[in-house]
Amino acid sequence: MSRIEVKNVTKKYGAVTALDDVSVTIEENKIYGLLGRNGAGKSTLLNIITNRVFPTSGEVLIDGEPVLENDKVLGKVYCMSEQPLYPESMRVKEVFKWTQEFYPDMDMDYALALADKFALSTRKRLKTLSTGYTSIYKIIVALACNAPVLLLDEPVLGLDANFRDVFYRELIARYSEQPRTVVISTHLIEEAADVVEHVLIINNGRIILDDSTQNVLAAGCTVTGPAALVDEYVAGYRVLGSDTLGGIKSVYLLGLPDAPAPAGVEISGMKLQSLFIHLTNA
Amino acid sequence: MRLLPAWKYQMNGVKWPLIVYYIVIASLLVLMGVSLSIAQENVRITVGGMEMASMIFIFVVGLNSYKSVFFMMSANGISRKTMFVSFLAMLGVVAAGMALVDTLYGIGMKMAGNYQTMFEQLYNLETSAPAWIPGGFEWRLCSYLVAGMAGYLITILYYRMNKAVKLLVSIGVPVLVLFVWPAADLAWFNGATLKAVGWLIGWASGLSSGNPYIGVISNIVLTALLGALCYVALRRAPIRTKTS
Repeated sequence: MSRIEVKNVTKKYGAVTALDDVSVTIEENKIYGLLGRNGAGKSTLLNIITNRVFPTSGEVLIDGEPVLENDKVLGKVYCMSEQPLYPESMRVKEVFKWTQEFYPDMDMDYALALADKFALSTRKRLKTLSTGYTSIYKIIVALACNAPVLLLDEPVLGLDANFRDVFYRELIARYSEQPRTVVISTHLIEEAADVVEHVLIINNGRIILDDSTQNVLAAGCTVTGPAALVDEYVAGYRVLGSDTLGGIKSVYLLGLPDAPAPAGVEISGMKLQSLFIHLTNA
Repeated sequence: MRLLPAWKYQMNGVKWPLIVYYIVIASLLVLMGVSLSIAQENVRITVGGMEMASMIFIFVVGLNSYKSVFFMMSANGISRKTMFVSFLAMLGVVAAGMALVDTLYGIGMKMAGNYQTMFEQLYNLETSAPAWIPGGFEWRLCSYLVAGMAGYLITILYYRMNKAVKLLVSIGVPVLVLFVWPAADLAWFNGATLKAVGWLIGWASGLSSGNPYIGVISNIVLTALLGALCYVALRRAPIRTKTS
């Protein structure tokens, strides 16, 4: 079991409310996407779940037990943080070694194999790593530590497209072998949409969407075709946004049109990013 | 409580500094021995006070045992409580080890020549015979515990302060202790408060009675008090974070 319950959590930093009465349940063995704009409260929520910062009010339970100063529960969670928490003078191989001390189920062979795959030298000190490789060593630790709950805060920060692809493939492969609870906090929504099973959108410290990816994507559609035809067809529907390239226009609709599409107009799936922009622009 | 890995991590952090510290001490002794051997016959060198160097060392260990350890342990799901207990365990082992080494060092140095430990100087226990003096090990152990705990408390308090308070404390406390208090004491109390503090230190350390065990007991109480303050300060310490 590895179920997270966030109950009425509020976090204030002086006059700023980073989280405002957030309640959410993260079910076990699912991949969640935690999406939000800069400053929306994503990292604060992950830091509260891992007891790194304290909520102003409310509580977090993992498998029914409060996380507050609870080693047993905290040991079930690995949070890959955007912040540099490891000593900068440490070598990558030392990070692996100490992670194995703290998470005895860590798969060291897998960690070393992943380091090879990412072309990461384990002899390097953390302070010498680029932004991309800093993300990579954290990704390796997260994937290899075998914690039942993985919280990944901006895991692909600074990674090129190839390494991002490797990461998503490894995440899915690892998840398929050993299902676990994963929360990915990211800005790269379209990439994450292919991986996440459940979407949490946070805006101004509040959870404004908590639904399965399937339901979210079924809630709307993309209408593509000649601009004039598309405009005529979508008139009267709730438009989330649009893109125009040459004479071709794509319109993102909330809901599905009742009438069949005219010739030359195509209806395809909803784009999560369009929904996200619509919901978080308000 | 995942104490063992936390303790191992704390010990790993102090292992090399400790080795380097004793290598430096040993090198100084060798240097002194060489100097003596090439000096003229009438030269007399007296050495002593190794304990003060050890106290400073362990104070610095305390100072360096908080922020990076806190971050590392937070990254690995260790609670503040376990982190604190692991620090106590590390400090206990290091202080006991250093107290033992320094006690044996004192005995060894007496065999080699004219040597006075700080403990003997403070409590007027002057003896030239190389012997295990009762109370010496305990006094060193408890003094090192106080020094380590004081360093730990200072670093935690600084971590918890914002920039303005840090600045205020860094300037304000030395000014208050070194200038304001003595001046006010002389102006209004005719030096009575400083004398009272001096008397209190003399009494609590056992220096006035010449009984080192009073100092041992006082240091145990002081260690417990500093430890309690450390725990209060760190139990709600957050990882400093951006509100993203």
